[in-house]
Amino acid sequence: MSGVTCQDVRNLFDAHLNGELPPPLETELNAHRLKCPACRHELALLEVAGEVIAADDGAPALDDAFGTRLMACLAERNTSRQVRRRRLVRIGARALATAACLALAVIYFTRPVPRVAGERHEAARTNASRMQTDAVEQDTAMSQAAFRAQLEQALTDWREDASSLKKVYDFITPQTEEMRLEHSENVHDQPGPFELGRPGAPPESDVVSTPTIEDI
Amino acid sequence: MDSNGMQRAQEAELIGQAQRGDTRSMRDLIDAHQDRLHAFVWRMVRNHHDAEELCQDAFLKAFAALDSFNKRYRFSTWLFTIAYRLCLNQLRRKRSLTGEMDFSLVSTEEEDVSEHAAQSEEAARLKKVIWGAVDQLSVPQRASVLLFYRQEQGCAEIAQILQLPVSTVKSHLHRARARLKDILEPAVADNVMGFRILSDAAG
Repeated sequence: MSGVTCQDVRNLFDAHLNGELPPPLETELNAHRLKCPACRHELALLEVAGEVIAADDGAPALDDAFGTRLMACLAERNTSRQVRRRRLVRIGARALATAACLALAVIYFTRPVPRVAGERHEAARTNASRMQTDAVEQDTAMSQAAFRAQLEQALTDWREDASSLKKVYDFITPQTEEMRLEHSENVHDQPGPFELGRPGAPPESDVVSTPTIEDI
Repeated sequence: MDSNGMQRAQEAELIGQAQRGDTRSMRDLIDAHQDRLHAFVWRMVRNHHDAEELCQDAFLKAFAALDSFNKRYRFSTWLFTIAYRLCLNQLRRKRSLTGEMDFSLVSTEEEDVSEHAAQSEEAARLKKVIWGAVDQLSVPQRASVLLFYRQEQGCAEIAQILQLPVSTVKSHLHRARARLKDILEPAVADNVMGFRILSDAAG
């Protein structure tokens, strides 16, 4: 490392004082300071300052009873911590028990308990009413069905009667027409049956008059 | 017991027992980390009373959340993470009450004179200058420097503690060193090698 400048060497001072300088650079630094008074002076100041600080700082001695006092503080703190811990455990246990009782009480009193007699009676009544309604509906349905059957039977009978009547009507209508025609040729100058006093009307003696009040 | 000497397996066993409520294991963990934690927290908030309180809070929070501790990390990493967050909260609270912190007053609040090592006036002055410079760093820069040099944490561990990217941590270290150099240079320009000899003696 030829041509080492003073600035290069000064840059190594901290590492040298920290004990971190690699051996080759340590040798370079020592070689330089042997021949450079300025660098030697500066490094000496730093080394002396460090050595004086490391040697003695003149601090007053600690009280001999320091350790004893400190142990007493530790013992007192441990005792109070144990007492505090036991107290906390007791308080915690009480709180836990109280909370458990409260929880049980809340659960017990707020559970959905059914009103047995009333609700059962009400349920039975509802069922009975429902059954009654069903029965009524069934009866009604049966009555309606029977009525419908009867009605249908009557209708069927009527249709048969109507059919029979129609047959009769159809049978006698042409004969009646023949008879009318035949009658009208023979008695065309006689009043009709309903024409009194008119030509074709029957004689008044054949007409039965309705009695009146005066007659009675 | 020093946490540096505590192996991962040993630490994991202690944590497991502490999770089961073993107080002895808790005490062992406290003893292993309390000094280092206090030193870090004290340097962050620069108040002895606050530092002790924050250390206690950090341990209490760590043990309170021990069940959620991820054994992939070291306990110290987790503990320092909690402590750092507490320090941030404390500094924000103080800043909101007192405005900008006066580092000069803070740095002289606790005189850091070591009674064990004989120090010359120069060494004492050097320490004062350097630690004064550290106190002037921003919170994340100061935390990075303390964790790197005092707690011997690597950049990856520092990133976990500060919950920052590794590159950001390296940037904080770079800027902190540049700041320290800028503060040190005028103070020691005339006597660099002398200070080096003294720091070797103090170390």
